[in-house]
Amino acid sequence: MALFLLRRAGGLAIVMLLVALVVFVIVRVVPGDPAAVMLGSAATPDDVAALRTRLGFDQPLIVQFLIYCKQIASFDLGQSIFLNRPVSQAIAERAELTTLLTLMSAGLAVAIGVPVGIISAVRRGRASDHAATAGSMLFASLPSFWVGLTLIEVLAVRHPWFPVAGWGDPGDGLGAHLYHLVLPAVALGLPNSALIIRFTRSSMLDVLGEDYIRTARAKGVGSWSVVTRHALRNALIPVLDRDRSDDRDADRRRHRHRNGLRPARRRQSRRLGGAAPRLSGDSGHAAGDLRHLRSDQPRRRSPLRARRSAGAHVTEEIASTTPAIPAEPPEVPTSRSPGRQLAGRLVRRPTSLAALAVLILVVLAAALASNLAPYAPTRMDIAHRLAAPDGRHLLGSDDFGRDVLSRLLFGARLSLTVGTLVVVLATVLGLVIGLLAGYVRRLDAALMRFTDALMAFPDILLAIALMAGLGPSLFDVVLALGIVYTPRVARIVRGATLVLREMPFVEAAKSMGASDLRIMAAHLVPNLTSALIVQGTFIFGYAILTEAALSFLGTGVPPTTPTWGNMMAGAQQYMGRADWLILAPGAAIVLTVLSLQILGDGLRDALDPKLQRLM
Amino acid sequence: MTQDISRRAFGIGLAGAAALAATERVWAQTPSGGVISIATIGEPGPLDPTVATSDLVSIISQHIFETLYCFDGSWQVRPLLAEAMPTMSPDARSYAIKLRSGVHFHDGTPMTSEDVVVSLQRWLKLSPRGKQAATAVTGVAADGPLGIAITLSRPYAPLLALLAMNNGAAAILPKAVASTTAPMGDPVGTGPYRFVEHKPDQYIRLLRFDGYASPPGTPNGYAGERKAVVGEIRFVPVPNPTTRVDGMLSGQYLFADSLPAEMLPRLKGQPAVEPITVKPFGFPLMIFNEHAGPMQDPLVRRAAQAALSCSDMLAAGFGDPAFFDAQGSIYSKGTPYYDEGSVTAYNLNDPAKAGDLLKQAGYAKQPIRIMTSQQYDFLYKMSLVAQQNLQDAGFEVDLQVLDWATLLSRRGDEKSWDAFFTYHTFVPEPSLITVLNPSYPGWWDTPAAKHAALDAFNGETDPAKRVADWKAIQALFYAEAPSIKVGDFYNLAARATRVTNYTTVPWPFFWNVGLSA
Repeated sequence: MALFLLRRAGGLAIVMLLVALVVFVIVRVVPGDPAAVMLGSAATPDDVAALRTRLGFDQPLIVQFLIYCKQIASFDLGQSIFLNRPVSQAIAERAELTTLLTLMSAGLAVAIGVPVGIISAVRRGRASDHAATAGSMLFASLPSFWVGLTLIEVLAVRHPWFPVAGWGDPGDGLGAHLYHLVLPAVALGLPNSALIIRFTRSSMLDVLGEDYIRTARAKGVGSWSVVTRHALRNALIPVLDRDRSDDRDADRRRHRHRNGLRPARRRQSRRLGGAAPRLSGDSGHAAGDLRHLRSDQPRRRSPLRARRSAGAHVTEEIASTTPAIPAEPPEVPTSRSPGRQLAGRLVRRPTSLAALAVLILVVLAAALASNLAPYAPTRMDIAHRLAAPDGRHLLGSDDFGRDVLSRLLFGARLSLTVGTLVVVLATVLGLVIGLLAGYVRRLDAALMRFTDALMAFPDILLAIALMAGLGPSLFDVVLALGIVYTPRVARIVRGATLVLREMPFVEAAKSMGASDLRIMAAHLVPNLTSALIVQGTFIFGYAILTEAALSFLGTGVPPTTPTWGNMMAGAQQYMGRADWLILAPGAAIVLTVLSLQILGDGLRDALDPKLQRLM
Repeated sequence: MTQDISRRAFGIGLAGAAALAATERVWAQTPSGGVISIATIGEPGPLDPTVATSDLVSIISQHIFETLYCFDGSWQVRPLLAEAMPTMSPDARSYAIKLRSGVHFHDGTPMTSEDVVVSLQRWLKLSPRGKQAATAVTGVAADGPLGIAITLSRPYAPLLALLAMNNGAAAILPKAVASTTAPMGDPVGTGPYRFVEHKPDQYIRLLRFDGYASPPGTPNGYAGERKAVVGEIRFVPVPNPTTRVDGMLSGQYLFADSLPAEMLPRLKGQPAVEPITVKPFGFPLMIFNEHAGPMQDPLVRRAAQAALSCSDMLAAGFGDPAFFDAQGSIYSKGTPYYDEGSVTAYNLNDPAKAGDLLKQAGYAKQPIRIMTSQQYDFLYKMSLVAQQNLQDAGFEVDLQVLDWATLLSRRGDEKSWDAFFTYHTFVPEPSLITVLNPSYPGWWDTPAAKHAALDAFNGETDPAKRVADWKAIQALFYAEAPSIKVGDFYNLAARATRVTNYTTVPWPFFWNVGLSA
């Protein structure tokens, strides 16, 4: 135990050192001399040089880094140049508000997410379930900055029920402060509630299939009482603690295999359909949920099913005592190729088909933008600026008199390009890092601490910092977002690799003398494909949303480029006067991201063989 | 985008809740006269009036600190902490200034000539304006408890205007503060309001200073009597301009500054809100690099001058024609230095002429790197129009949209740019205009012509002759085309109709302002 704690503490120290290094490097690569910025435009070069000396910028980088580490270690965060006060004080001053806002938005997300998630699990397959799923997907597809702007417009300006901004007057009580935080908490909480709905739902479905639930039901406990008294407590554990569950699960599985608890049915399979990560809603934690890999109990069981005949119970008994990794191959005629099976399953899901159709339309619009667009996307016509939609401009014109429809079409091209490239980059990098970490055990600790360090930064902050260092260009946005999403792919790949590497077929390949490289390339990668496809679909959506947020903050793709995010960013001040400017790109983003989510969900279910069996 | 609601955040939450419980609350004193909340463009940074030249610091600090002189409504210099205008020696090389008696700092100590001497010395050393004056000032000395003597090496006409500026201000600080080199702590001045509290990202609170000694006379611009009618002024940072407008509409703020002109339609017709057009306010500039690159050639610069449509640029930047005036005189109509005659090449939008000039210059399609920034939306928008104009005339343009801080640091390096966009706020004294300073990026400094003209202007103390000298400088500005003056623009601010007795000035002040019920 002591050794374990020591090892964990050591790992923590390394992560912190890496975080410090990342921060240091980002600050260094950001262009602009802080000394020159501090002194303003009228400073002489001598003044700047003197200040640089005072701040220690003339020292070699490594010395600067050591000084920096020493100061951090002694909790000296230095002096804020901008605020002219110690950084620790500046952080403390903001702690109260940040804390309350975090608690409030989290509370709101839980208050909405948990009950809706439970209802949707208990009423699985009914209208209320579909509505909850649709709602959660919609929430997760809305750019949160747009939600915020709309809330202000409707609930603070048109109906002045809430304050527009701020935090109340000096001397205000807690109640008044909380009142000021309602709108921001809603804007932040809504996308998160979507995530919690989906986590609660899947976790609840897991638990509802457990033996003790069946026992409780058999003993005649009322169905709501079963849910609230028995199922809920266990279902909420992974919801509250979803951050690291993948790691622990993977480790546990590995240990089990090490200890010789081999699968009862040693069926060699090249498919690990179950590895499709149940990566619902959130880019932030998506990394987490690999619980479906843990197949020691059947999942997504309708409570109704649990009350089926004794014969079914026997089958389930077998299934549930079988750590079925790899999951059994789906019971379909072997003559059909995996791709066709997948297509067949998707066709049976009309929502997935509709989503696919929408995406195909978007791709076509992007590809044919030059043929479809009535005007050049950058052609200005100052005399006809802010024209309302009419025959001449189907979606109106913007503040430079440029045609909104044309920009939307060309924007599709760029937004899809960003999404595709980010997915490719994050998948390739994540695959390499995850495979190496999972298969080459010596590299595991180092690589995982590195991904931990990157994941310690909030997505958008890391992206902004990287953008500041890289400079605004389409390529740099792709690079920044690719780096942001790499750790998430890496962890999923690592988790799956840890399980796969203990599989009999890997053992078989090894005994036949296959090299590590060959095992990874020929045996592991094909089994990871389905996981990567699903993961890629979700990352695609987040990349589009994050690109929009970056553009909105003015740090994304150069604003001269017509992307959907740039169009929304420029439209903000015309809300209420030329609403089409923000509605058109906003709707395009929501529709595309929503379709990607539906398709991702469909793919995940289609690739999940246990679900197939149950359906 | 997505927010963590994880164990991590929850842990922070618990720690924060503990911190919250421990926080001591500064209870609001509710002063008579009420509170005026002002939405500003953001966090101002250190409130040191001498060092800072930003408009926001000036707006806030002018309530706390005072200078010896200030400007009246027609931009003439008037006494503030000084008792009267200075007496000048016949050779214009020494000034004697008498201070008002009975003035106290917010900490209760009386202001004396010692405080003033140390403050002016600090100003000469640290302020960009002071450094400009320091080239002519040889000494500042006390002459009794309320007398100051300034000696000069040569006649220097801009001195009084520099002393009267409220940014990079020659503000009078207590001697103890002014004599240390350490960064200034909480500001202590002589102004009608005293600093109480700064909560970053939340507010800066100023309360009425009960021991204030006002200058005499009818209020006129910044000059004349100052009375702290409103009990508390609260500056609230609201960086998002749309939110500033929304906050005015909902009644949360009583005054908001720097609003997008495009949003005027939303403010109009609201019974509780009065939009304010601030003129004169400023002029956008497109600065050319005269040290390196293709813009070194005056012919290329004149080609750019001929190509641009300044009126289109202004229309794109500000939308509503009520907020700009497409005219080329550096000083706007109605100010002492306005002159139309010397404006020889403004708003031509003549691609053919520009093409001819480029041919003469032998321009070989070197890309012109233009730096612009979205932090100032109008600069970004007009740079897009400029790009199109220049391309139409045969220029090759590389428009670089940068972070404002990056632009500021990059413009110091002559190798990395050919042109950039900035704007200049109205300044009452022409020698303060940055483009005239040979060390300002762009580096306009033709010794025979510009240098000589500027020296003549600065050495002349007769106002009428100065106007004539200024015309010569403006004629050179158009002949040598060091930069493009795009036009005049006005600032949109808004006040609640409850705010009474407001005076429209470029840097809004709130003494003498009251609140009706």
